[in-house]
Amino acid sequence: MALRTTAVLRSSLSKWAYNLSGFNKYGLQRDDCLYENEDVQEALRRLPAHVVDERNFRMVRAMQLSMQKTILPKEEWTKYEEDKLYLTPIVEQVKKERLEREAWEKEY
Amino acid sequence: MSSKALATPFIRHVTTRGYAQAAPVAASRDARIQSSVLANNTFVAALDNGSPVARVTIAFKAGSRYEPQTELGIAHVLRSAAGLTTKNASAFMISRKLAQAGASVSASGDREFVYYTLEATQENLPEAIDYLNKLVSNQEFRPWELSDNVPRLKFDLAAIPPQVRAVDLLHKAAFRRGLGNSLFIAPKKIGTIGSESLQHFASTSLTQGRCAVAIFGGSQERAAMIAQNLQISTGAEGQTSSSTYFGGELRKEMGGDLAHVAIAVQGAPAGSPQSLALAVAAKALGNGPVIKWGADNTPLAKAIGNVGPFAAAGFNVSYSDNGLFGVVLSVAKDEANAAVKAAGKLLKAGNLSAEAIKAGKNQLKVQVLSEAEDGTGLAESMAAQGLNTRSVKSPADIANAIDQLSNSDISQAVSNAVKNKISMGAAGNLAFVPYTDEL
Repeated sequence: MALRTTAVLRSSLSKWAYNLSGFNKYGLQRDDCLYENEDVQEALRRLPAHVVDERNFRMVRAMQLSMQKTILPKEEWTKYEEDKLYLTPIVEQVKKERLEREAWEKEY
Repeated sequence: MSSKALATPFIRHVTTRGYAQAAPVAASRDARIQSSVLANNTFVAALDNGSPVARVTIAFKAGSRYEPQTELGIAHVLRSAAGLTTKNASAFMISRKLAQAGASVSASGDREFVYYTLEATQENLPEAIDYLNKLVSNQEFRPWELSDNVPRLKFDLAAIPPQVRAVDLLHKAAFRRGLGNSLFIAPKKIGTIGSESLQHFASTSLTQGRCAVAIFGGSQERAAMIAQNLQISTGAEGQTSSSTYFGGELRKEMGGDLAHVAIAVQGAPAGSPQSLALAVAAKALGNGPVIKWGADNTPLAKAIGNVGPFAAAGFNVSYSDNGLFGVVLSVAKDEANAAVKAAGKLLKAGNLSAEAIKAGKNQLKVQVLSEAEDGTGLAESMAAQGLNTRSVKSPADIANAIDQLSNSDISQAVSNAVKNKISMGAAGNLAFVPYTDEL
């Protein structure tokens, strides 16, 4: 019981923090805000084309909104539940491959 | 005896410093090929001759004849994808670990099989086998790695010699589907074969029942261990659609100064006595001059006569259920008409003199025995024989069988073969190349 309460508490806490961060009001998702270093660029290359297109659309829309000093109407905000991490697992994989490569080159 | 059309050396520069200095292990002269079929239906063969460099071949019935008609060229992509990341190891680790062990892996394929062949010194063999296993098992075909691989496919296509194109077209004309499928992917199909189709093709063709493991310079127990450690699907022997001989002709006008023509009739399936007889007959027809820059005194060259420079050879290929027997010819475009007609006439006549047959037998024996000197060729040949007939004949046995053939066996096989409809594949400058009904 205690465990369940903790889980519910944690999820509502992260939901609160998510809404506080504000990028969802531009219709962005968490993975749209990743800093594009080399790992992320490689991960983007591995995504299917339509996922990249959707990402680019969200980013262009967010820039447009930001220029106009406005945000989306509330019903179009990204919901915490709908925000899927579409890029992070691939970035993790890329990072793992890079570390493997670096470890090898250090050794030999 | 099946044609080795493409070998993709996947680590190219590793073996430049030869193994000549490797301490010779006492080579046993009386080593015999041992073979068996494991409980999981995988065929294993081994020749434990103490060779300082061991060769391991893992072969699957996954050649171009098993391609679905909607996914032609998938076998080419499959063999080209060898060494990409699998579930067990990344592409980087596979190549570096093999390089570190001084090993070399190549993936090659023909119409029936795909061969993954490892070459390694005896002391590094266990580690190299481990990575060969990781390379073959659980292949993932990640989409971005496949698209990175596209330049290699394009290079493969650009590097096809026109003679190979002619023989490829000949197969297509003769068998239409199955054995007629090209060894190479069509240029327009490059990039359209996706990860899912490859995974499906791999899971249905890279299975235990369609697998053979052959080892040159290792024990049979080791071969069995390699076969059992492979993490591949357990599917049994899949059904094989047999390829019927239809006959026909296909031409590809490519310009240039030369015409490359392959004409053939239906041959015999591998393992049959006729296939050996036709192999002798192909050598008897002619195999080019035996001395460099020397005169070509074979029946084929004499039939074509003095038309300027040309190259002509008899050829015979045997697959598990069918074969082709004929002539391959490269000739200057202006002389193509006379030369092709003469070669066609000789093939159709189908009579060979006793001297020609004797020379053909000797040449074939030399070819069989000298190919066996090269361990890689022998390992792949053992695997192919195992998949075709579930047994392996040693090169010496094959040479004996060639000696046993009588002249009448050979003439009989040839005269039976040439009764069939003639097929032709031609590539190059075809301005004066006759059509089959004009032969």
